[in-house]
Amino acid sequence: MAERSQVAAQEIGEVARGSVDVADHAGQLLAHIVPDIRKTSDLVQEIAAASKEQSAGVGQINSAVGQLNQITQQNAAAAEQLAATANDMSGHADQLSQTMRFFRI
Amino acid sequence: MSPVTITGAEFAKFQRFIFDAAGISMADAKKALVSGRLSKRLTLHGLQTFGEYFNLISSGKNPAEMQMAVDLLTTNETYFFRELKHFEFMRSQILAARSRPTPWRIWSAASSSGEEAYSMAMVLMDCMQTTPWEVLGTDISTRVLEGARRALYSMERGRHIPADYLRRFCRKGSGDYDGMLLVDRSLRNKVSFRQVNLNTPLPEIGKFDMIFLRNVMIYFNEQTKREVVARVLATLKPGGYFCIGHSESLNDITTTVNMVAPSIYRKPN
Repeated sequence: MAERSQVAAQEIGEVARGSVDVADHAGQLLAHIVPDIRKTSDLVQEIAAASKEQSAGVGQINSAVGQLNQITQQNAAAAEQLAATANDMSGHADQLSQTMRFFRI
Repeated sequence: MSPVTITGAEFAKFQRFIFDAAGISMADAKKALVSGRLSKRLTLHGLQTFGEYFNLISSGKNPAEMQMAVDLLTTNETYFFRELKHFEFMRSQILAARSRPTPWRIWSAASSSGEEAYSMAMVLMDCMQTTPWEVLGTDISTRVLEGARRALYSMERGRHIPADYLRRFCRKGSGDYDGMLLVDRSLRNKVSFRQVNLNTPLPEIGKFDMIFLRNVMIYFNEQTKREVVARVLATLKPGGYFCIGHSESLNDITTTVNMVAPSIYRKPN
């Protein structure tokens, strides 16, 4: 019994030593990963910031195109109104020329 | 005779008036336009200020003068075969439907003095075979509709009519009508005109295979555009086509139609 216990204790001791080695190795690996994780986190933050900037840029382009659209339509309306006025003027000019025909210079 | 000037407060009243009556949004820069177009009416009625004229048209006692003010404040620029691309597209659609049994209907939703509606009729007369067809022209201004029914135009407005169409579908004026053209009766019989305000619920006008609503939205604000387009599109058949002016866009206005080419849209089946 005592002998078997001694063997078991020895085995336990060996296993424990092995576990400590494994834990030590895991600790080293983790310590190694940490800077990479920190770097990844930084990169993700940069991507998020860049996406935000892109989104703002696209928003500005959208609003600029919207303004362009609005201005184009306002110009079209103004052009039509001007054309109508020009048409009126042409009518007036015709009338005036008719009226003036009465006079001899 | 010194011209009467319009004050800021008076102009604001007319801005409100034409928006309520026709949905037209006029920026503050349109002061000269309003005074220029209405000043003759002041002279005619012997009025001293634009405020007095506003009272005359808004009193409700003179609906004819009110309609006259609407007529004068709306712009009716148009000519035959304006924005030709739409007529070429229309032609391709007619060729595809030229011998179907059901009638083919097209609507010139802001027909002004009728040039657009008669241009449509010329293409239809040329390309349709057995399919019955009809053209409806509508406008808010009664004055221009009278001109549309008369179908008498200066040659200048018909400059873009193809020579072949001019010969086949128009009659050249002579004597008092020198320099004028009259659209042939065979076409006039196929085109009907009626007054429709696109800013109020539409009367019963049926469904259409194609609708032109060109250079109208340019006078409206965003909200009015959305309402008008929704009303007009309700009368378009599924699979039908909707043409707007080349300077206009349906961006942010509606998503119920798909663009097939710039300024041409199709209602899904």
